[in-house]
Amino acid sequence: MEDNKDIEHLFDGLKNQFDLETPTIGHEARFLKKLESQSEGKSKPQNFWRPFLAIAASVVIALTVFTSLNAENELTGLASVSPEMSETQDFFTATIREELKKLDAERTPLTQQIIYEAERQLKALEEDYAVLKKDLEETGNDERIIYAMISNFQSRIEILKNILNNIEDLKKQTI
Amino acid sequence: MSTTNQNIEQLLLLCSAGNQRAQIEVYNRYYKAMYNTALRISRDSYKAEDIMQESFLTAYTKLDTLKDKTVFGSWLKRIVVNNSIAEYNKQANENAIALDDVIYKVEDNNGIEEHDLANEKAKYIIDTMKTLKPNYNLGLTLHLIEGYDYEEVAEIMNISYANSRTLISRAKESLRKKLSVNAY
Repeated sequence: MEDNKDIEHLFDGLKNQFDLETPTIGHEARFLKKLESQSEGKSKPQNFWRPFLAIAASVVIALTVFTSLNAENELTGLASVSPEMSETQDFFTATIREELKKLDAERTPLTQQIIYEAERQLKALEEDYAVLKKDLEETGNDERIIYAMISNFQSRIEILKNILNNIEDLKKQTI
Repeated sequence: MSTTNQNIEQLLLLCSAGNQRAQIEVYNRYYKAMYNTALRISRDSYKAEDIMQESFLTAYTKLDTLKDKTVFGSWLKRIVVNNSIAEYNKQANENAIALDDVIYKVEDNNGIEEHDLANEKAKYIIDTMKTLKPNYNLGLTLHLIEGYDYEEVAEIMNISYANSRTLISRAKESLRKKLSVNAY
């Protein structure tokens, strides 16, 4: 046993001296190749997340497409022609919104029938406007379409004004 | 090149994130020690490189399971040792460790000039160990060079604690005799 201690001392004295060999030339390149093929194959354990990632990605794409389409729709109205026209459109839509609010406030069993009639006419005009918007896009800001759009707005406001007048008259009559 | 001076824990964080440059940097720091460990056990230079590199790949994929990153070196070495033992057992089953191979290697090594005395001594010891019974060589390698205690050697070699003690003791005795015969 005493002698075996010598062996231990011998090895202790040579600590870290035993790493004498080196791999053959090119081992780094071979390792790199293995690393790369591993990271390619790594998609397997990650497969679990793949479907979720795909779903998330498609949601993001759908959202961006949706919002950009929406933004486009806003721009393809009268507002897309010029800043002045944009202002005009804003004015009209604000007025229409205002008149619609008033109309809503007047909604009673008595006025129900004429309001319904007005809404039908407005809906028809809105549909016309949608067609005009498409035409404007296709013809590249044709002036006739721009005028048609403005008169479409004016018609809507006129209908609303008339309806409100009618309602006023109706109320006076019943009092 | 910014990876050169980073400490090992930072590097390992990058490794587990899949940073290839960090993985190569860690490889460069440890490959030599790991290659030699693999070579001492498997005794096949071609297999040793393969075992060493595969062990790195395994270590990188399982890095998350290593809680204390400061013991990465010994953890990696244990992977190398386990993989090398598997190769050793395969060869033992195939009876593939030919004596010719050992003799050839000894002769081959004699042809290389070594200027470092300590290196020469180490080389001589390793070559002498190769002439021992394979399991003696393995036991001594694990215990004296890789630094595993009797219990760890028993675990690695899949033998009992008592057998591990006896094996290492006899192997030391055997090596001592061989060295003294050759030295004097």
